[in-house]
Amino acid sequence: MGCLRDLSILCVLSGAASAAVPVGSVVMYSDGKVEKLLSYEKGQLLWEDDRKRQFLRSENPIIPVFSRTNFLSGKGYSQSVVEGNPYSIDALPVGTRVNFTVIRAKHSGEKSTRNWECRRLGSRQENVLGVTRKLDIFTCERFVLHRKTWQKQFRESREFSYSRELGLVVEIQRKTRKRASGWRLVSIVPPEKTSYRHLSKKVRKLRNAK
Amino acid sequence: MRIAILTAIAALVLAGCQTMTSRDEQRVLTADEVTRLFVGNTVESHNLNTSFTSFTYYHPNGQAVQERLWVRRLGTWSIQDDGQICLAFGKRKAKCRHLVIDGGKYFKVLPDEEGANKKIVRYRYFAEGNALAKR
Repeated sequence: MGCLRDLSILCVLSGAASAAVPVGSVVMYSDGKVEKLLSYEKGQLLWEDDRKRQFLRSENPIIPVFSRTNFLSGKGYSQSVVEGNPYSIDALPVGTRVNFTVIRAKHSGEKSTRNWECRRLGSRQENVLGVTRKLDIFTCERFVLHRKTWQKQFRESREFSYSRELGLVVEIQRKTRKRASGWRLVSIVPPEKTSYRHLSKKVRKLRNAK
Repeated sequence: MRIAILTAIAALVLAGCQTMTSRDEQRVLTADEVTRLFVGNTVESHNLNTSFTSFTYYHPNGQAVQERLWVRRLGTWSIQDDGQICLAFGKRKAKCRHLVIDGGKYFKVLPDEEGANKKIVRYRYFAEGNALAKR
């Protein structure tokens, strides 16, 4: 999107490939969350929210955030896939279960293992912010294995739609053992319109409407 | 021996009460306390009315650098003898407000119509130095 068609090869070769939404864009969600895309490199997108917490995410929407870092405290964690191949989900038939394991390492040194099972449920056309777009639908479940019985114990589930064109999750429903929550994409502000005046007006309206 | 143990228990209980009181009661901060918290530090604040977060660096020379929604602005700050912190951005007149500690958390307050302190900003984090300069 950020590179002209004629320059696309040059952009890729120079490592300056662009994300689906241009770097510098600000996206807003129905739960009041606001994030800015800071960079896009080698399929990894660095987002920052209005509390300046940074999130490094994969282009593959089933992979949990690679890292999260709080601004002033520096606290956070990084995650890496240590087992399974979440990238295989696109090549496999719809409905195929893809299992993978992630190690979460907190910056404080504490480590934990997180098991995921995801499925691509198919795709549908939907109006997203005034434009009809193809959305891929995914469902993921996180679980732990019981120490003795090795039975799966539910921790959380996420069902979400993802637009490859935008490179964004459009809507998500999340459930844990205690609560259910969800949000949907409500606005994409292009980099040239991210003045404080413009953003604050939109954010105020969004958070007042919650 | 018995009296000594009872005295020790009573002292512990009273110490606990004192700790709870100092932690739970709302108290207005002095100028010295405000100075220690803000001067030369970057502070994360959360506006309780708008739910906006801002980061402000309080330079020891009286200059303030603030970032909200990825946009920065310059201003000035000062601390009055009664502990009020004053902030001014752009051409606007400085606003001076008291700060309180309540339950171990710091707030900026504004007196309401009845004179009670209404919390308007919660300070989430205080970090040494100019963290905004690193980004």
